[in-house]
Amino acid sequence: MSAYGGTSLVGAEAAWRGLAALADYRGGRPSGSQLAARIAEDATASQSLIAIRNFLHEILVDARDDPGGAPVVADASELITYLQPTLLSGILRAEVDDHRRIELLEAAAARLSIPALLRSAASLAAAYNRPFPMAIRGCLRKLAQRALTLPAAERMEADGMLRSVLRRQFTTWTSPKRTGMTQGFEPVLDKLEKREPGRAVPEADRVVEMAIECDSLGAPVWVALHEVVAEGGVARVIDMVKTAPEHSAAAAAIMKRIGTPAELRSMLRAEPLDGAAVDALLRGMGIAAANVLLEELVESTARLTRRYLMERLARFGAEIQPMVEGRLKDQRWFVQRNMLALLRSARCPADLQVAARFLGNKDARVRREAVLWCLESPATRDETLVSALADTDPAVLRPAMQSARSQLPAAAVPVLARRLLDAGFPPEFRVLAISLLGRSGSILAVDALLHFVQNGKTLLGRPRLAAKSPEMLAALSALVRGWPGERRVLVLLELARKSRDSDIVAAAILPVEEAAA
Amino acid sequence: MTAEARDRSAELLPGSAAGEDSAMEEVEAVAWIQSEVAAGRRLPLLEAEIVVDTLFTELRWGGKPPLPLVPVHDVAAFLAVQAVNVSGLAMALAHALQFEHAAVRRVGLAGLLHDIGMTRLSPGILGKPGLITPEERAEVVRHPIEGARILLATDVSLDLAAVVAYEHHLRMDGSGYPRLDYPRSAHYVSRLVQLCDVFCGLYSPRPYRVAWPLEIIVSFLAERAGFEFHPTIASALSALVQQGAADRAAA
Repeated sequence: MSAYGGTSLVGAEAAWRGLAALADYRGGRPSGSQLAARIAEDATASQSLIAIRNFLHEILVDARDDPGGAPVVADASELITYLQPTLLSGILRAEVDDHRRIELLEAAAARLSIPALLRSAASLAAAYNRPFPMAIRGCLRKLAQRALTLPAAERMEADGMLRSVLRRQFTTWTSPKRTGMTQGFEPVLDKLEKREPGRAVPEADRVVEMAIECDSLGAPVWVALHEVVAEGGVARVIDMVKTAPEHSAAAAAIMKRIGTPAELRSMLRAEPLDGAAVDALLRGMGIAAANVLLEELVESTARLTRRYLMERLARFGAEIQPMVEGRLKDQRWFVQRNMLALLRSARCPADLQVAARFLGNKDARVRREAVLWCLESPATRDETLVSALADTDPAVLRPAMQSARSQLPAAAVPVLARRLLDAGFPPEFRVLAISLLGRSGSILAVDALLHFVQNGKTLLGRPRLAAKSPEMLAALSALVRGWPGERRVLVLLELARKSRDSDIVAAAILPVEEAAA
Repeated sequence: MTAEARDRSAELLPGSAAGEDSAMEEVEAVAWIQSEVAAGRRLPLLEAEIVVDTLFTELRWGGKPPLPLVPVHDVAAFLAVQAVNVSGLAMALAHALQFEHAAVRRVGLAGLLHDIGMTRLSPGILGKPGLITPEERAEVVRHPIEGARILLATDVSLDLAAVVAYEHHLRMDGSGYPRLDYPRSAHYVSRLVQLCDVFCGLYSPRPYRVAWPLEIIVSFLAERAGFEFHPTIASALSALVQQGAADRAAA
């Protein structure tokens, strides 16, 4: 039993009768024009826009598989053709559910007669306040004329073209928002259907090249880029971008799209490394590339690649400090060494809390990098220098000695003095150490310097000069400059000035200009 | 053009004395589309497709020959008229060259929009009597780039139209504009639309010259085929328009 007028009808016919009942039509089964006239007369029916719309939905959508539905669709088409324009606009706008509205409009575009379809198009344009110039209506009329008048075989094709453009027109006008096809990569790819190659389809490479040349982007570019990448053409894209102007927004955006960690990793592992190509990729990826570069720095066995990676990572500056410090937890010596070296070359501010455990590391190569890093920061330099001067490894000692040339902190004097007297202190640093102690002016240095100038005492208890050596001459020279009045020094200086060796005499005399100063 | 291609052309373009103003709706529609773009609004793509579909059906079933083209009534309508003429002629030529129907319509859309970058020219440049200044010339030379930008920003389906807009002033010998950073030859459809553009331009009067007779244009295309124009397409176009003229004369 149908709800419509107590009849036993079903499907499209039942919906048509229901619509007639709504309009209180009492003359049997109405035609479309009769029902349109009745709806115009009946105030209740003309205000029941949603109800009318629902009946049309049943006829066109719900009963689309109804084998007896065609005459009813013809009646509905006639109804639409005869309905008052404002009423038709209201009915077409009545649906608030986006899905149901689009469903009805698509069914209308597919099933209504062409006059009803054109009428609906005009009403929809008015209802949704869409520009619909008379000239476009004229074009549609031409299409409609072909669809109505051509021989059957050709009519189908013309009919299909008209319905296709109107269907798209309806959905464009009534969609709640634009498709977003031009707004980004993912929305485009979600809807992407692979382009079939053909004479009227440009090659994907051409589209990407053009986009870079005119510095412009859009959905066609993203689709083309996706195609190039999918067929393994990343290197080609990078070649294009390499020659793009430096500030090309399109090139940067394209590189950002293709600059994935996997792609970067693959390029870094290629032999030989194409540095220019990787640079192009890095420009697009920015700091997002840092972790991959760090991973490869840890794992790469190619010296040239590691050097390249260090250099590129350093360009990120202090921004990478947290990532690098995180990798210091790795216990492998070469990882710790590389990370410390990177912290220095990226000019990351030294942190003694971080560095402390590496300044005492059992591996001299690690200690050396920790020292180099911490010596560069004024906040950590002096403390590091004291620690490094005590180091027994020449590779660690060397940078400390070089740093001490500029300024030897007071706390380092006793350390260096002690090391100088240590038999294991590398001979290559002795003269420099003596010179540094001499310049320190600290009384704590005197004993160490005297050690190189005096060689015990004579039988009569007088001090005896040590044999001439570079260390002896340096110590003598340091003493005459720093402590000429000190009692033990004075005695030795007098002895030296009486020496038959002119080098010893010269070392014990303050040059005239220094004396004058 | 092969005999088979000529047959297809005849199928598409049976000669008739169709009225010269029969495409005025299309011209008005294109003028509106161009005005929307000139005003900085989004290109009304669907409306452009409606125009192309209309031209396509008229070519296919309306018995409309490629000649005479829609005449230029006034300078203001010049761009729209040229777009409609190029679109129609390009579709006829593509069909003659055995493109599939869907491809013919894509070519038609590319032809319709090939000069859309001209809508961004400063007012007064288009249709200016006499010589344009170097600054104005620089603007004109940029219209392929502007066109490509407009089309790339509009819709995923406009890849061919964007390429054609960008390349339709590139010549076979590498001259023309814009300058390419990545050396490559223009797409086949760009060459096809270029020829139609040149043909329609010469066949229509300009503020500074009268329209060229058909025979002179055909000679002009033949002389430059191979170094300025694509030789096969130029030959096919000449055959098509001469056939159209003959059909008209017979009608």
